[in-house]
Amino acid sequence: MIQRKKRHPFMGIFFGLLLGIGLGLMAMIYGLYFAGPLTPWLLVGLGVLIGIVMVFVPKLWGRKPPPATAR
Amino acid sequence: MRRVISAGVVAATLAIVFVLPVLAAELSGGCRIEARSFDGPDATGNIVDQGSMIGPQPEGGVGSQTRPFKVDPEGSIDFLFNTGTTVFQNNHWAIYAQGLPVPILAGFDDNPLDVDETGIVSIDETIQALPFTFVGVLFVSGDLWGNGDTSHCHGEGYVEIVGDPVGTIPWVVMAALIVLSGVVLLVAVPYSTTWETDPNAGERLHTGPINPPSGS
Repeated sequence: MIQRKKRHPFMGIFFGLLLGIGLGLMAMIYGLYFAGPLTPWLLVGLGVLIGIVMVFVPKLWGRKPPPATAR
Repeated sequence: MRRVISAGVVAATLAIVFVLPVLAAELSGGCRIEARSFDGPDATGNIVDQGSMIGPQPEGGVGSQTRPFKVDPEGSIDFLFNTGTTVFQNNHWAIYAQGLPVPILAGFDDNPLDVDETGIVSIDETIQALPFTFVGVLFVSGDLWGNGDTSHCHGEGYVEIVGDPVGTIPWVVMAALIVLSGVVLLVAVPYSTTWETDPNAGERLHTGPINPPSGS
């Protein structure tokens, strides 16, 4: 039996979206409109992007060893 | 083709970062607005801020990104709006926040008698529609249409609701979202890599495996 890695981008998208909403709120609360009126929305998109990237970034700690049958 | 797409992405990014902030405060269509905000109701108390806008507002002017128009959440605004030389008959108007297509305020006036409109707006009554206190900077835009939609004024700029945001519901939500989702992204999401049995693994030729040549 051969096993392979399975990734879950939806988890990254969901928590990236939450991070983006938080960053967008921060921009509104502290007036950080560095990219104009679209800044909060751009930050929401940036959060989603970060979430997706984090799914595919190799973890550097707490690495769960693959099963012995994995290749 | 790939270069064209890359150049388009770079140009759009530069436009968003550098051009939009410059274009973000203006009042077009020959209209003019003057406003003075107070920390008390009905234009009473101390003056919080004041300014006027006509045409594009230079950066640093009242209502621009670096110099938003300040209002007190429990105060009021005394305003004068002028439509230049055009009387906006059968007009309708709407005010939007953060570029959302749903107006936060809207109205109409079928028979205005002149080009001036004055009034005092109570901020407290306006934001009571929100179930929480908001302190921060909002991008506000608005449109006034009249004379069968042939006359149009468009205005946009930044408004700062002054106060300490710490402890308000939006601030708590912001902090919770950033901390929790940040921790989850750093700790949990990399763990979202799991192992599963490859359903296509181990398949062989229908006629059987190729025997390795002898001696190899």
